[in-house]
Amino acid sequence: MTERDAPPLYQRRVDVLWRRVLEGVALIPPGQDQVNHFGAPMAIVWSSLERPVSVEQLAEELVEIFDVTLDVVRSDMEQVMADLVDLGAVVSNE
Amino acid sequence: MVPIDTSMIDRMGASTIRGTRSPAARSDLDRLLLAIAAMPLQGGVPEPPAKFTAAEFDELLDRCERSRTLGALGDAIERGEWELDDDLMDRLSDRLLIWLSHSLRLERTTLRVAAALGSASIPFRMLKGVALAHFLYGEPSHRIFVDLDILIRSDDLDEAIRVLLSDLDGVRPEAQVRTGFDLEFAKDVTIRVDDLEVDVHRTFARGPFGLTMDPEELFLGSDIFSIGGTALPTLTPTGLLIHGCFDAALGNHPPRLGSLRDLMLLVERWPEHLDDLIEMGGRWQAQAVIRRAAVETIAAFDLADDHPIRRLADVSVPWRQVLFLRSYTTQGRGYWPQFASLAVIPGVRTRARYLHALVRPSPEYLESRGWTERGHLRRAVRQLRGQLDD
Repeated sequence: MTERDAPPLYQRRVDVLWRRVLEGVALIPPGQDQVNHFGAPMAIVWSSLERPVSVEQLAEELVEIFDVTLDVVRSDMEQVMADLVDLGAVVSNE
Repeated sequence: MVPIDTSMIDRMGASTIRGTRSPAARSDLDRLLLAIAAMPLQGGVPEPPAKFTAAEFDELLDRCERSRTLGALGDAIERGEWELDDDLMDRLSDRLLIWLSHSLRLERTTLRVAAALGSASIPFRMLKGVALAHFLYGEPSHRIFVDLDILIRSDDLDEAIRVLLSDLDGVRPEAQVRTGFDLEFAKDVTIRVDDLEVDVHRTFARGPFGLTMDPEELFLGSDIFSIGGTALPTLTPTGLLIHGCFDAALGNHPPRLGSLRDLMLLVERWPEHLDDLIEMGGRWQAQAVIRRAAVETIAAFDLADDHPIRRLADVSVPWRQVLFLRSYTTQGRGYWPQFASLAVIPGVRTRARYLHALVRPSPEYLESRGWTERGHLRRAVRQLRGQLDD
């Protein structure tokens, strides 16, 4: 695979303010006022986003935790990453 | 995404836990609360006396909030020390979410305050909650806090207040007692930024112990922690230790359990700095503060004979400091430390200026507190006689 064909990688923005809240996570993206709260599945994703990861890598991690197929997780993660990028909490090298 | 109302936290700002009572007088709930707070040291939390009802658990949550140990309870649950049913877990999660969302808002404001002070070339040190959550606690969600505390040099105080008011649209809810009072005698000045409380300190305490300390020493060095990728300065370990003592001994009466927990953790983290702490306490005439903080912490957590904090409980205290300390713990403690300050303020003219400010505060100050001059004096006299709650 050439660099051009490589899947996009996603990572937390370093300037996001965030806290673990038991099994969930709360965060404020930079320049925003609203606190966003997410439950346990997103907290697992958030933890993985400490380093650059692709949707495929995330899906492979999560499929071992949740009882769903890889295709379903991959599809969900694509949407979640798009939402987190829109929110300003995650950056992509895309 | 959940809208989160953190306004109730402001209303709790002044409340404290009711006492670190003697072991014999402790209820099951007291013992549980202390065990939760001491968990990092003792490594486990006893089982609750019976399965919690919702009302009992809410009471525990209330007390954890007041004593600032709600994060410790969250830590205990995360470690699997107790099994909670779904209802109780939701109750804990809801409370934690409110407090930790408040922490995030305070951190956002911290970054604004730090940037504004940095642009104005005003040195500062972050204190207490924000700094300890990141610098002392391994997991910031285990330390909740209500407001921001920041230390500024006395010479920079006026400029720092001006920056917060003008650059960050801050509001000063309480006027200065008299012109120049802040720079010479005040412990701190409260400014509201983003509708959150920012306490701009020039010392660690009101009263005599705040006036005999030398805050300049705290600007000779610093340590760094990071929020959202931004490096922020805090005190050196010795500075954190002595501030922990001031907070534990003088911050609230009875001492707040969360403050005692902070001190216990500080001492365990940096036992090699206790000699420096004791020397600094001597220079600041604050041995009584160190000893009281240690004695209260040992009593609350029933710490072992070989715990490093025991050294601090053996510090020798001059009799004059014993009297000063009493002014902070007696009835009328809202006013007695201010009068005890007269014993350490040097020079007749300065003492006269201080006393005049206390007895005849400015009309702006009285108005900002909703007081009249006569009402202010009556209140002071009644407090000093112990006829009013503090």
